[in-house]
Amino acid sequence: MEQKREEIDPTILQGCLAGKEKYQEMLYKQYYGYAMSVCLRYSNHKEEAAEVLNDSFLKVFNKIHQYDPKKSFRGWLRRILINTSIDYYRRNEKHYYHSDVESAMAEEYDLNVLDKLSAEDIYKIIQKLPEIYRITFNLYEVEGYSHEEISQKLGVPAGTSRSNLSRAKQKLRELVKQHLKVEYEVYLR
Amino acid sequence: MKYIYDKKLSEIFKKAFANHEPPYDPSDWRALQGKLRAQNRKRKRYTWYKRSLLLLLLLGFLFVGTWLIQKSESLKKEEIKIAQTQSAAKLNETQYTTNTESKVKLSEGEHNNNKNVDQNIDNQDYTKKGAQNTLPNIPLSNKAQNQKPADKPLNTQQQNALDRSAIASAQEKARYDADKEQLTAQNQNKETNHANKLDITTKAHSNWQSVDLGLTWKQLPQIVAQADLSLDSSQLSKEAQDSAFIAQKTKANSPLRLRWIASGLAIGPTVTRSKHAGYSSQNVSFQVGVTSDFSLSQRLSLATGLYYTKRQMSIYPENKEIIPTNNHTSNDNTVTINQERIGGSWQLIEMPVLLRYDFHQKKNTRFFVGAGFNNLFYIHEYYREDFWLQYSQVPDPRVSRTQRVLYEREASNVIDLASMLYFSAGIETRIGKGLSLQVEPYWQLPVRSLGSEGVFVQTGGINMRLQYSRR
Repeated sequence: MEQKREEIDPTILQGCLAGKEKYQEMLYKQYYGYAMSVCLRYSNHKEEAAEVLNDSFLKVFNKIHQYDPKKSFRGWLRRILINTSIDYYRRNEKHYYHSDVESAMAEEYDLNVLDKLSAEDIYKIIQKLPEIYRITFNLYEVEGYSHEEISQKLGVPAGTSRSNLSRAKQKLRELVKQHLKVEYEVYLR
Repeated sequence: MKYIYDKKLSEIFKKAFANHEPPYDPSDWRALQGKLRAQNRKRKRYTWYKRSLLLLLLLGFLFVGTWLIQKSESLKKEEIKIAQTQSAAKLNETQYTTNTESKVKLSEGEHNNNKNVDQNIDNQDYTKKGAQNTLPNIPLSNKAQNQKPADKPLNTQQQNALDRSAIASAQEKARYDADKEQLTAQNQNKETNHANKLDITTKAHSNWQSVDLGLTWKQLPQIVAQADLSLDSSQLSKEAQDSAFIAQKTKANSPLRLRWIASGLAIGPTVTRSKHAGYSSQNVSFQVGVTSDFSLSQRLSLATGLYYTKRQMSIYPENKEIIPTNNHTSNDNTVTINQERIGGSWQLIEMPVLLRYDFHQKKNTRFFVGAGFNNLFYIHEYYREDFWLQYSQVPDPRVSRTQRVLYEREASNVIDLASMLYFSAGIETRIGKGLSLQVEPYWQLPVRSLGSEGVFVQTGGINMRLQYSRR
């Protein structure tokens, strides 16, 4: 069932190749959820994710003739989404800023609390990460890129990528803790 | 512990990312749709510009070609005319020179004979030899001068000379007829050289000037009339004058001359039929504007103007669409989209360009038909879509929520050149000195989708014009 859904309908593909809006809308609707989930984890908020998503689909519709039907459409779309997210970050890099102050909070490693996090919570937490940390974490931990590949994509040394990942994880630990604390306080009220 | 915690954290994040897919939001598609349409419009506009440029070039070539052909034909006509004139002038000049010489010689002969007569009268000594010698000799004067006084009476001698002149005249008349036929044949072939002709013309003209028209040559006016000498001597005197004359003639024969004939004010109701997303609507509005007409020929004119219009669109689609919001089998959430209303309004300036043909004309009334295209300049565009979104989870229908979404978009300064075909027919009545009233029903069909949202719009209406005309 899942495999069937991953394949792109040939009629939709032909329609998109012909530039017909009806089929473009069908493709958009079919892959919206998946594409938005990717964009959300690279973005600060939903609006930014929607912008990246639409830029990505614009690329998809403009370069649909480059897609090889023998390969997975989802994989092709994913690459486009990630590259567009990185492009977006580069374009707006000068507007981002974050305080990289080391937290003085005492670190506690309670594995049980992690299971209590919902998908929405996880998205909220990751969107609070500074841009470069979030991208590095996603590329390395979720997409499976190596530090060398990340360094090429982001134009930073591999060492910087490693340190960014380390800091991203540290920040995530803090954010998880903060989030759970807030949730707990809300629960108590 | 830290390592285990981070590993667990990464796994939880990966799992969450893999299974979670946000529900479909139609406003995101609307935003992308706008971008796609803008992109397509840009492409279409580029294609349209290319086609327009090609069409303009083609029309330009056609116009220049037609003009050159007309000029060439006009030049040929003038050349033929000049050739006819030259031939006739040359022929006449030849005839005239010959006849004048004969006449002069004859006159000299007569003069000498008269002198001889006087002498004979004085001397009473003339013989028959004089009369015998004068008849066979054509150059009468030379012989006559050397002759002795005539034996016969002088009036007989003069009579003979006049008879001989009449014979020569008849011969020349026959020769003229033959030359005339030849000239006609030459004109039919139309193989004349303009420069040579002008040169000849100049010579012919100078010869022509030297001819004394006061002479008693009876056939000359007749010959001149038959040769159809329509050009006067001043036009044939110089080559430059000939060229100027031909150019002037060509300009005067030009078929299309654009000149202003009428301007006025227009107002009228207009019906807009919009088609968008598979649904259509009709709205009524008004348009006002200024118009101007330019005459191309007696019945054909170019009508244009600037109209301000506000058009609207209101569609109530009653459309319900259910979209699965997740591609994963583990999560079968759906979103039901109820599209409640699609609205739009446009403020625009229209500039139609029409060719108008007056097919029936009475004393104060004209009936006409027109066809052309309309150019649209959007001042402001506004689009609005109202949705109700209902999110529901299939495993647990209780977990559902409803959300109202309002999608609005504004745009301005969009230009649609030659985007609508324009057809009209109407009546124009003169109501006063220079004033006329015109009633013109029209219908416009879209060549392509219009505006930044790509809406297909047909419009119809009645234009009522009050205009000042100088026709």
